[in-house]
Amino acid sequence: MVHWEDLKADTVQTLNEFKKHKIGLIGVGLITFMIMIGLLAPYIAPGVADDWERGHPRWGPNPSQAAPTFVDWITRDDYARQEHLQNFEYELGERNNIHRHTLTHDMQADVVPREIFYDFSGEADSYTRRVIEIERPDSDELDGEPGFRVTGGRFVIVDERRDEKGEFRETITTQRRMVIRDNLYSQARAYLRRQDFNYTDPGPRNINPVRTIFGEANENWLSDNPDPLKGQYNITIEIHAVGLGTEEDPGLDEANVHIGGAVYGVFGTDRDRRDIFLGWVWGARFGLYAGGIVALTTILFSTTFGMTSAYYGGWVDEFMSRIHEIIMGIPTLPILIIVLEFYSRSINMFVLIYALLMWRGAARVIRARGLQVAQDTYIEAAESLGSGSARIITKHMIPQILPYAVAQAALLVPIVIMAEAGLHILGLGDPSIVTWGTILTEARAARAVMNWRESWFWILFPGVGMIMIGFGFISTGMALERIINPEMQQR
Amino acid sequence: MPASWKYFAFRTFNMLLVLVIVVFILSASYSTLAERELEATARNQARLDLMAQEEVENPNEYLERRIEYYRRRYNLHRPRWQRIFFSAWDVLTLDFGQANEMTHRGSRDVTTIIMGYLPNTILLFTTAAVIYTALGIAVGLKAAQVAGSKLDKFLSLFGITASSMPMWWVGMLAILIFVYQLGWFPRPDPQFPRVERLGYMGYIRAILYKLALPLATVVFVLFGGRAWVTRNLVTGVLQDDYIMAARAKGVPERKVIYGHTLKTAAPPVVTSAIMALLMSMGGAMISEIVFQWPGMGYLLRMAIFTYTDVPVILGISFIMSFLFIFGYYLADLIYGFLDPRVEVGSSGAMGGR
Repeated sequence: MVHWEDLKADTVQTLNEFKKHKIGLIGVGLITFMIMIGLLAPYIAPGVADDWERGHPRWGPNPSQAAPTFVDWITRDDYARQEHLQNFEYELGERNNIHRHTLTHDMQADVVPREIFYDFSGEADSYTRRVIEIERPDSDELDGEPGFRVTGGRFVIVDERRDEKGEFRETITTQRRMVIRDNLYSQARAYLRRQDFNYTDPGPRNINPVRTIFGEANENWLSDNPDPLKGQYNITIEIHAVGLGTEEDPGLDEANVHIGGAVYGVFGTDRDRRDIFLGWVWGARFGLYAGGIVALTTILFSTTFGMTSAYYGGWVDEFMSRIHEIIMGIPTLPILIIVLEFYSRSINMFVLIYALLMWRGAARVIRARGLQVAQDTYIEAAESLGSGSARIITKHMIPQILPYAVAQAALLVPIVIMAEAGLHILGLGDPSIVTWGTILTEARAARAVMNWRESWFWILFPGVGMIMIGFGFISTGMALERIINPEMQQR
Repeated sequence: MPASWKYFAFRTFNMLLVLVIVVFILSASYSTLAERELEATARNQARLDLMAQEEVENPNEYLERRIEYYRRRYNLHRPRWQRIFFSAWDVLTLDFGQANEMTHRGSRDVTTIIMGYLPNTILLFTTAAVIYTALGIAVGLKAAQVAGSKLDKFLSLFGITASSMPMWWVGMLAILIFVYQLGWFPRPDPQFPRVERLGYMGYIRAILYKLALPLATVVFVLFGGRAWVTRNLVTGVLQDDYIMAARAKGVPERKVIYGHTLKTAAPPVVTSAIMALLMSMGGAMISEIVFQWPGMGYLLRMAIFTYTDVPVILGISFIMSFLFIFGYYLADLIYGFLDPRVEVGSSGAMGGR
């Protein structure tokens, strides 16, 4: 057994020394924080690892690529928040064929909402069209214009649909339907033309529908970033359907309106409406899981290998050194990729390969230090007193060596986490989990790099997670190395 | 100096032995995959032959015969250990053979294919290694001179932070900001400019324009760590007794740093610089993918994912292993040359510096 008294005394001394290293303390703080996040992931973000797939209903009404909420606190502009509108008025039209929802939304934000969602479901004999009418705060002024047909302040979007019987469920969002975009475009442009505004015409494909809805009717209206028009918006949504619902209870089964926030969640959302923070939390968990296991096996393997080599010396050392050089010469990347690509992509397979390969660097340091320790006189004394080699190794050498192994293993954690994330970019990540690599790969696949304003948070935060863990472990490992060996030189 | 010769001979023999064993291990690890791919190729070829025939009396028998023919041609009728041995032997004699499917400018020769990509990796990563090593040593020395100052503290923070950033992630951010938002640099594109179209000066300008952002990224990520390690080495030496003695004697500070200290700190600094230069030729796979840079990593990805072309994979793996083992060997030799305290034999093996 390890001599616990010695180990304890050493540990206490090291800890006392550690308090003098400010960067090391920051590192320990960061590690603790990230481990807490990782451990609490199932409570902070329950079930997210399983739900992290495109179009999962869990992410349904979230805005797409909304910025983090803190943006609202640090900028002077007021960002629209996510809202679930519940102040519905429901009205059944003639012959039970038209179902009209009226609701109001008071838009006071400088940065307008990213979307309006309307999702509804029901059962009908036939279901034919949807009419969405949006009455803007400036209706009165605009409606006074002669010849201003339907709009002004009012947008009407009519969406035809083939007759369909039976159950239907549909989500209309302002951003996804071409007919909405085209309708808004032609109505807004018609107004601008009549008013002789000096506007640039971006074409129907390049307007942002929800910004047009909430945009001030001036020369910027059709631009990428129209001025927000604050005030009360009345939204009327009509569903035309024959025989909707039952005779006793005519109407839709369910109808929900969400105003998609311009900001959402701690770290914003990705294109598929997933809350980046919730995935990030699980990224910390899986990253620390992989890094932690590799670090532990590294401590075990490198200490065993290095100590055996150093203690026995002679031809054993010589032989083990050759073995070690061979293992050092094996290129990690091709082997790793081939195993993951052709055998299994599970994160445990990745951890296994890394555990089998990564101890090699640490073993070198352990052996070198072991050689010094073995030469120390008290080991000789113990030997001459007749202690067995197992006893000498565990009792005298391991307590002195362990801090080195721990320091080396700590430096390895960020390397493992970065490698795991990199594998996702190669398409070799475990598909059943979500890690920082998953998020970054999705950002890359969605060409997020092309649009700074809409996706900086999507790319930034997974990397920030890696930096936090990396900084934590590297500074801790370095502080530890300095304490146990102030004059240590590294190649 | 007989001792030096003995040392040199020992290290050389050792290096070659390790290289041979590693190549055998690589060849063995890829053999299952190679077999699978060659079997599939043999069947496909046989089927193509069958389709090319106008009339065949017994199509099944013909197919069998052709498969057998191709299996012989690919040496699949030999036992596996023989195939492992021969492929390892070929690689060791630097004959990487023919690729199964991949080509570079019409050639299936693996050496030609690799040589088509290696210069791009050298252009980016070795250039970067030269810059960040030189810069890192210079800044590290400066920081060591003013240890404890603001510059020194900033360098520590920067070094640790940069070491914990994945290079490819920094690349993504750099592309996001400098390519698409600010428009300062060209979009990532694996197509390189052509001399014939641009003329000599235009070509150089186009290459530099294309190279600037990836190069800056690599230097940014790796320079901090290098400077910090240099700084630690030098400050470690600065605390040595003889430096204190030199200072006490009144040797000017410049001379203390560049004369005494550097002499002691030189071996690890020089060896790590050499390792960095050599290892840079292996490229960085994911960064190359992010920057669409057609280097070794880009080639390896194609070889594995697009073609599963084992001869190419083996060739690249060999080069990566060779660079590492040779770098290690070279570093040891230089270490022995610069630091006369190094003993011959076992001490060099796992070297605890």
